[in-house]
Amino acid sequence: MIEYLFLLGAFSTMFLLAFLPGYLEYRKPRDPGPLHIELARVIEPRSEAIRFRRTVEPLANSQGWSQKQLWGTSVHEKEFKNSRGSLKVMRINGNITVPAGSVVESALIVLGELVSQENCRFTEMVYVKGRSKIGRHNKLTAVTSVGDLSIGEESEVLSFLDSDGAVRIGGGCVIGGPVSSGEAVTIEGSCNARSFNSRVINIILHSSS
Amino acid sequence: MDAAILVIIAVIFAYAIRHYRFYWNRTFRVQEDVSQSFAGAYTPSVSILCPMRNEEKVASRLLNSLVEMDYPKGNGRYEVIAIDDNSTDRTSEIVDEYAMKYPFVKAVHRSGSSVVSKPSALNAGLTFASKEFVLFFDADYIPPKDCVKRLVAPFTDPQVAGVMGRVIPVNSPETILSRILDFERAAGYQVDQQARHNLGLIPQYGGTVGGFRRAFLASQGAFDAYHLAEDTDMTYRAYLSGWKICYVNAAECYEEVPSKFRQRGIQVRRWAMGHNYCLFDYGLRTIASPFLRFWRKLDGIMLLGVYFMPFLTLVGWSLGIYSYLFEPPFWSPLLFALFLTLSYNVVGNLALFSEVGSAGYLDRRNRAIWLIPLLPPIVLFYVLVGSRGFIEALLAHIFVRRRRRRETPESRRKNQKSESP
Repeated sequence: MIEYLFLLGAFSTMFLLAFLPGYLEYRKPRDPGPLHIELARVIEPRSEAIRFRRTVEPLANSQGWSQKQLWGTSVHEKEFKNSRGSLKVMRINGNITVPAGSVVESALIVLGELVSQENCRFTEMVYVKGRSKIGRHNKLTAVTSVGDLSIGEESEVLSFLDSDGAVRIGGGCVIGGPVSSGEAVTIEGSCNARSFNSRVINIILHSSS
Repeated sequence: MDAAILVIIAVIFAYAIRHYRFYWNRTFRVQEDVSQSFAGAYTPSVSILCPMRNEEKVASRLLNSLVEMDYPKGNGRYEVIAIDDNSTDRTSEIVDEYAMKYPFVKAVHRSGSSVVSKPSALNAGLTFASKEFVLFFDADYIPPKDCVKRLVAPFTDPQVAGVMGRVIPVNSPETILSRILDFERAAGYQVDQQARHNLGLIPQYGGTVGGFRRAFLASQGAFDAYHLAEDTDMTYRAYLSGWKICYVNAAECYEEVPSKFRQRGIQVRRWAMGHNYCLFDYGLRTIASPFLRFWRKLDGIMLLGVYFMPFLTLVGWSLGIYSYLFEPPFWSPLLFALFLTLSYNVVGNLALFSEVGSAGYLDRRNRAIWLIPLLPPIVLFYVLVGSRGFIEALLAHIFVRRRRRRETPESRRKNQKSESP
């Protein structure tokens, strides 16, 4: 008989143990909710670019870059790895001019000014601390620039085009993401973009003669 | 009897697989939220309908949120239609105050209506909705400022008839029931709806914090004024006519959930009845639909059967206990144990365990997960209330709904005359 009582006791204890965490959280709630929603939150059109900047800026200051000469200037390279894969990043401490027809297969951090000539291709995102002047027929993934940003005619950008300063877009450009500027967006001729976000938007239409 | 138990176990097993599939997809796979890249950039004209019946305590809160919504309000792109549905308190005054103050707020008053129901109030509001898309918010909801922009973003896909956002209980700290409902909602939206969206199955329009393309609503006529689950009804109308519904997890909105078992019982019973009406109306049509591929059909049928499951479980439990005690074949104890294990995981389609745990993990509420062991007793409550809802729905379908459908407007008028003194 005592064995059965012991078994019953052991079973009941184990059964009740399953409910113990629930009981503890019920008696002394440490997460009673509700889940937080920021009611005043709005959609920030520059959020993608800002997120990219927040990622890039600490990377630029990290150690362990290798140095080489490219396009007549000294560039630093480093490969960053995380659980999703690896990314090659190229850092230029000063100004740089990318020659016509170049293909840049690394993400680019330019701490000075960036000038690209015709038909350049940037397969990863570009961050520029100074001003940026992108040439005609360029193909880019995304650009964010602290200084003014201009992009030449018939260029294509897969994602965002963003600047704290003024943004100038040449005719025939196709921008897959939002175009945003802290000052003004100027569009010369016609162009396609997902959205234009700025307090001032200038459209300059050239009449054909 | 053993055959019946085996069938019930097979059905419950199918639901178990479905839940674990959703749990796995939501927790470990890439999530589908492509439409949200357009949020903010795509701002079409939108009407927002708010049905209210004796909602003086919460009407101002909702209307404040809607007038302060971050959405372009110029050029008639945004309108709020507050529908006072036969209210007897100050709701109508509050609605009028907002309509006088804001040019984009319209007040619609219904009084002396023969049918007082949410769908009939929505139909009245729809008459005045003039925009391209129509969204719905119940009075006790609190949308954040980005909610409308996020909800309309999926409409960039011309195949999308409707959208549904995520609902989060605001009053969860009130009682243990509201805390548990908070978790249930998290599982239902964060995991279940998102996984169905990811897998291209049937995410469901939930009646509020969502809406439809007006062209779709126009093609469907109106909401069924007598329906208790007009949301599920509209979901199936959309899928059976070749459209689809999009779930938007980022479009979060606060709601109030019942904090007492009595309120919750009434709510579940009403949902069970309405949902089972849809099972009777759309079950065969879902199987036969030329617009749905196999997996969508299967998910559609299982979604329709969600509130049939409590009844089936109750029958299964009864048969299992009887079989165990009085007619045990050699394999019966094993079968009974298997049955209990499976039903523990899936009863009522509330995804009480794997999906709830996943939702807690995704929302980073590690401590709240400790409440999971308290969920099983709630299962019993749902089984009983859901079973009652199913039986009532079946009886109402046989004796009331079918007769009402056979009636023509002419015969209905004659009946009303003959019944009047």
